Amino acid sequence: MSSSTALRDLQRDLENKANDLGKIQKDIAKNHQLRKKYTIQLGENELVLKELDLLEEDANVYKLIGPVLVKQDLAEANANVRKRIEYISAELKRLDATLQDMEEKQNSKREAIGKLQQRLQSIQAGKAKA
Amino acid sequence: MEPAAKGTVTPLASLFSEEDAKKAASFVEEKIGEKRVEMNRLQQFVEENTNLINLVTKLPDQLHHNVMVPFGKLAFFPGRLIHTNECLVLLGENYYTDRTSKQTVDVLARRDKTLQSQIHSLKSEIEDLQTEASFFTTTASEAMEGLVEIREEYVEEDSSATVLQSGVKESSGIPGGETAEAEVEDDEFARIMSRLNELEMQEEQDGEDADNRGEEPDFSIETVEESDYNMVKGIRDETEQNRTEYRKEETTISVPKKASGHSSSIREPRYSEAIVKGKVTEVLPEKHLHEDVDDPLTCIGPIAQYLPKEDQSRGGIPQQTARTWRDFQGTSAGSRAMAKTNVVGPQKIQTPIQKPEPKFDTNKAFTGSIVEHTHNLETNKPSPVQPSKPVSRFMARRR
Repeated sequence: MSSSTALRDLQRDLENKANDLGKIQKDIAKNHQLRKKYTIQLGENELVLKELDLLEEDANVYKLIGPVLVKQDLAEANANVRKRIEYISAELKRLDATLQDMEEKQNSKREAIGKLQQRLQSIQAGKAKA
Repeated sequence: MEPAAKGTVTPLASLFSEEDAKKAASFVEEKIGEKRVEMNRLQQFVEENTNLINLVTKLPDQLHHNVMVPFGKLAFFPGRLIHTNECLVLLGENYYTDRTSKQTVDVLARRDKTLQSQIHSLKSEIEDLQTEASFFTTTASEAMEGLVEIREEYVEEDSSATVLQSGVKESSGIPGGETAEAEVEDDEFARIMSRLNELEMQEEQDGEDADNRGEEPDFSIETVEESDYNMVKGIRDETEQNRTEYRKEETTISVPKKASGHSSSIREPRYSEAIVKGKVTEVLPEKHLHEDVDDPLTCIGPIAQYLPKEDQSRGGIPQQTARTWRDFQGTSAGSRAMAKTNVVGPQKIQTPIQKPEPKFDTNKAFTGSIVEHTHNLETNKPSPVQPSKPVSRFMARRR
């Protein structure tokens, strides 16, 4: 009797942990996608910055905002792009940190699940013998 | 064949199951497919870019172009393109800028460059993956065919002999050859050995070992090339060799002379003092050599020396094997050639130094280094000098 309740507890525990693990894995996948997006943006911004640096002082620079092209100062545009690059790299760093964190969590969860499974199996084996 | 105890046989299938290998292969193939798609996309970009470049370069050729202007999805109406030298270029991130056609072409060219570099990296990635995939598939097929993996203990004797023939041949060839060809000369050989020992002791006392040690490897390698017969012959008709030696040394043809030099110098006691002298003169140049030119040599040398030692400690190499090594010389020609070329450097540098001195001295200088080389031989036969040898060898290695 007691063994069956213990077994049930264990199974519930295992299910919870598996769910957690699934969640973490989803998060990691999301993180990967975000990171991909940001790296692409970073590359684009760097290209823009390069081109902006090559422009002469009096060049006309426009920014497309919605349907209209808004004229912008070159210096302003340059500063904006720089800031954006900074922001994106900071974001990438942050994503890296969280990714690492999540991976650690994932590993520990996996270990816990493995242990639970072993225990379950041993209990079941014991039951079968009994 | 080796006894069973020395090796293990494992079927490859037990290490990597065929299914797993196939799965891995298909996984990698999938990745390759993804990369290929990406590559195609990039190549399309490149194509579009080049088209655009062509267009933009052509536009300013005329003041205006008559074109059909798209209007909505289906309609066109005739129009005229004016301001053919002005382009509004999208830089990315919704930034646009006014550029002339020429400047636009520059921008596009830069873009093309980045695209090309991306394609290049993708290509190498794909190549990597392909080798990986082929590895997996071959593993799978091998596992399927029931291939077995045979592991055997590494036996230094044989393998070192074949792998580093150059080093082994030399040292092994000399003692082996002598005994084989003329056992009568054994006592002569022993005499030489004892003489060598003496010389060595002297050297060490002189405290110039360090310099000489640096040389060791070089000479050992040099001698490799023709030492086999040279040593054997050299001991018999040293005088002749001596003569030839002088001649050769002048011409800076290094290898054989040195080998012969050993044997001759070994015999005549007066050389020993000369050796010291020679060394002193050599010291400075040699140091330079070793630091600059000789480094590769020293790398090779110590190994060559080391191996022979092992062989001999194992109870001497049969002469026949020594001969087979000689047969192998053909295969080792490459490595020898290397040794030769390397050797040339130091010698060239040495010769100018030698010239001011009387020829005798120069020879001795060589012999000095040679004496060290003969240590190797001695290691083969247990002798009192042995303890010192390892030291020198280590020192050489450390260099």
